[in-house]
Amino acid sequence: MSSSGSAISVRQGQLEVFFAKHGNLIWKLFVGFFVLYILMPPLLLVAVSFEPSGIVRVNTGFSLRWYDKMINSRGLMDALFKSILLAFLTTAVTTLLALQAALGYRKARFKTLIIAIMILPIFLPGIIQGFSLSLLLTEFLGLQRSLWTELVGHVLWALPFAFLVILTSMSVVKRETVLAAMDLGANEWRAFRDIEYPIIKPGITSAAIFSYVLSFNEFSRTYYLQGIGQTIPTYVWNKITVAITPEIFALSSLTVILSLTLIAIATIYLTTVGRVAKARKEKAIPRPAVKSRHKAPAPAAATAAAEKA
Amino acid sequence: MASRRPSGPFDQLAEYFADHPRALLSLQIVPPLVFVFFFVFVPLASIFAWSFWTVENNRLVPGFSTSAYEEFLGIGGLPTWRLDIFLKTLRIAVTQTAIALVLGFAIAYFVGIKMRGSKYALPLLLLFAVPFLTSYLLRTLSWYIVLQSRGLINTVLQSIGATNGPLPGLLFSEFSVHVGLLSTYLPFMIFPIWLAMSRIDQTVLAASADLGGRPRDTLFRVVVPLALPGILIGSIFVFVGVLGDSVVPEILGGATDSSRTLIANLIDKAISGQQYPMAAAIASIILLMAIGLIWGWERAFGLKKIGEI
Repeated sequence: MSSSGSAISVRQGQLEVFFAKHGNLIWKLFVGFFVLYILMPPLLLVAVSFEPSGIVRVNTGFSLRWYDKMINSRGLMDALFKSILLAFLTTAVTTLLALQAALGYRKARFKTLIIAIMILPIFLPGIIQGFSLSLLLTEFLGLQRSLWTELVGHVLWALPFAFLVILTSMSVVKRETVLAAMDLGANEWRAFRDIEYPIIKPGITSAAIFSYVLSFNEFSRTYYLQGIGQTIPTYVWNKITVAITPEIFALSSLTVILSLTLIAIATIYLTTVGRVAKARKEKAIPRPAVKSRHKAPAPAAATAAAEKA
Repeated sequence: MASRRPSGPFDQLAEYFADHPRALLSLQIVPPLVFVFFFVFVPLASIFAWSFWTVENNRLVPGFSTSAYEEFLGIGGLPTWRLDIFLKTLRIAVTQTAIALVLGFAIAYFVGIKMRGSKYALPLLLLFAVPFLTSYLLRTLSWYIVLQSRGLINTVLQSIGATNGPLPGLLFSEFSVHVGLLSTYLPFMIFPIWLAMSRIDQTVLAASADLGGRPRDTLFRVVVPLALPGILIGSIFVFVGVLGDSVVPEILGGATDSSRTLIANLIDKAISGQQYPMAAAIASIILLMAIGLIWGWERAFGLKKIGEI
């Protein structure tokens, strides 16, 4: 009994020594594997799109024939055009709503409730959201499925992400900075335009880019809400449920490349939020852009704002 | 007040809102909240009602009929195949949650605790956020290329001579469904756990080590209890996500064979067959499970934690 117990503890000891020695390497290999697990398959789509033979397989050569076929496919180019249009509309509506929500959030009570309501759609299964929304809009509001019903679904999907991104970028803005501006006579609009907006602009830009990418790739909700004409994801879906053919991969690979590029740009933008604010502080350049700056401070406005905060 | 000289339409608006701060707050926060409320909460609430309605001439008619639930459960000698699929989906969802929990916790631990203070922590985390933004459909499709008979794994294995033919069960199996689901739902687990862990004070970890705690003790007696809200909410997200997933079983599970169908595919089938009460009943059951789990979580930790998660 006791001897077997000590044998186990010796083995455990050896294991711990082994981990102490190679622990970091094992950790890095483990996490590295899952980075590849998540990022590699989409890149493989890009590789397969250059496969010259007519079957879906790991590449045997390089050819652009599937891109040629893609460009000459009417349905596919129509879907591409519709996806781009819808993504632009989604971006415009989502960014505006997200900015409004983020501006209001700071001053509102029930902050946790607002956050909970705003981010819930991320975690709702798309099929349930798409189905329930489509039934509400068509059966009960008597609307036809169209670009506009799709737009509603896309905005719902992109809004939580855009809201969180703008909210994150706003956390850099110090309340005192805005109060100082108002003390110097700026009204709320001026304080936003001249002080806050330049700081959070990268956040707004990346929220817009994220909205675009999310809309471009949205599938489940679009599937139930779409009217005449398909988007890229629903086009791909209708093709692959019949048969998985290589021409789909040309389109898929373009989508993957576009998405990854935009995500990279948005991420880089987002990381500049803090830096801009920091640079502002370090340089402390006087901003002559505030035209209607008053010499006399407006204590009433400042105290009102302070009470609000 | 007289000293203010508004110079543009926005300034005039700002003057007005300076005296009516609540009006401004309402203008900012109300449109996004109303949008989300009307297009998310109203349809979801309606789903419960629709599940008791009936269909006449392809239209939903108000009423109170439990026949959709009876059909689903196979009550009164009706076939139980829907219930069987539901139970199978529950089993797969539990397995998937367990897999994602072990792997997601380890990755979150590496990023949130081991890499604390490293400038590479955030970029690494962002890599795991890429699946949120790229196409869920294409990500699943890309696993088809990895797993299929002429795919990456089989090609590599055969070229190094490890196998002679394609491995059986790599695609169109529960294995491939789990592989596909993991690449979608792993980030849903990583982020809440990481967020909970990032709030653990470094001094707490140091204190545990100072008091003679081995890394293992610190992990199980300090990190796990403090990260528990994140662990559970991540598990809920993955579990509910799998219940609502129809694309992975269709592409990687071979959903044309009814034995490989998951519950979300049944919603899809019911909708295309215009059995709206059935689709609503299945969706209601999934939603009720989600609400129950989140309610339990709220009872355990309180709604305040949502703001932290």
